[in-house]
Amino acid sequence: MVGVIVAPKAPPSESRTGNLVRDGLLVVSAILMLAVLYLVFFWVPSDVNLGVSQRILYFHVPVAILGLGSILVVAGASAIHLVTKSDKWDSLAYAAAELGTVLTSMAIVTGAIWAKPVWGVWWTWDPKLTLTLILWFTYVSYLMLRAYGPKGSQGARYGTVVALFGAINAPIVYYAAELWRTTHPSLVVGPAAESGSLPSSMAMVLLLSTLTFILLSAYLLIERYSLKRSEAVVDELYQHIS
Amino acid sequence: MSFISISRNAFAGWMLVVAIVIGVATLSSGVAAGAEDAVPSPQPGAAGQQAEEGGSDPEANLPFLFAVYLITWAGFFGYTFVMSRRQREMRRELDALKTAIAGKDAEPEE
Repeated sequence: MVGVIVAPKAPPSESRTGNLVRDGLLVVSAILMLAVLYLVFFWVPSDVNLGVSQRILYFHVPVAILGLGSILVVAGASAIHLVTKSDKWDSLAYAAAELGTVLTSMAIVTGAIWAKPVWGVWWTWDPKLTLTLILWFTYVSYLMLRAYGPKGSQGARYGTVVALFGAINAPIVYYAAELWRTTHPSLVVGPAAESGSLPSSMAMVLLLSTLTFILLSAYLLIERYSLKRSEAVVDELYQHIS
Repeated sequence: MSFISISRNAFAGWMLVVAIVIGVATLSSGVAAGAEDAVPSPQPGAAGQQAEEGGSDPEANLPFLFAVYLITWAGFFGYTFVMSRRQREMRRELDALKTAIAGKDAEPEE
């Protein structure tokens, strides 16, 4: 009987190096976050027109960018999974989708809180906002499909289709402020941002804040990926003993 | 493995406490020292649709800023908490599996 039960390999992310990377990411992002908080609340000047509410930008923009970026990771990893059939890529896609849902939710909520004092309304059906909401629905659809749809490779295939739809939507969300007349502020980061769209001190804090959120998200992504791999190992073990 | 994940979660918890303390201190001290030397951003953002709420008081919208700050942190730590709970469940399942395997091993072979 002993020989029949072959334990699957432990997730590679549980290795010493993996743990070291994770702990390192957490510590560095925590230190940077404290620095960002100091800069945002005590150092960077306020905008003349928007006052204190302009500082919301330092939280809203990074989570919005990462929410957009996550769908590209989901689509890329799903596509690679279809080609290579490696479950690692599927786990990465799922982990990125879950993180993307959290980040996009935060982007929508923080955006609404910014809009209230500035626009006077919590929400408006502006193209950029509407497309971001569609992106959020894409994430939710992906997760629901994976949870309640067909299991195994068929579920992953359907998930890839949803993720590719989201990946097509992502650049449209990013360029929405340029493509249509929107009330949303024009781009301040990324390839389409105009140089000098922010004073240097604000741009520096935004850059540092974005870097911090990238590191924190990377940590969460690795954690979720590792958990997903562990779930796969447990499932495999159940199959072995049943 | 469990020790590392427990200490990681404890670290995350401490970070949340620090974040809340900074936030409260920020609010109570009237903060936004930089508001005094305000800088005009080349694009004020709302495409000319400035609402009245901010008015002339640059600190009028401080609760909105604090809400964003709190939601961002709560979002990240809530997610970390959910993950740590799943990890605990996973460990419990692994223990159950080990017991099941040990039980099967103990069964006399026919």
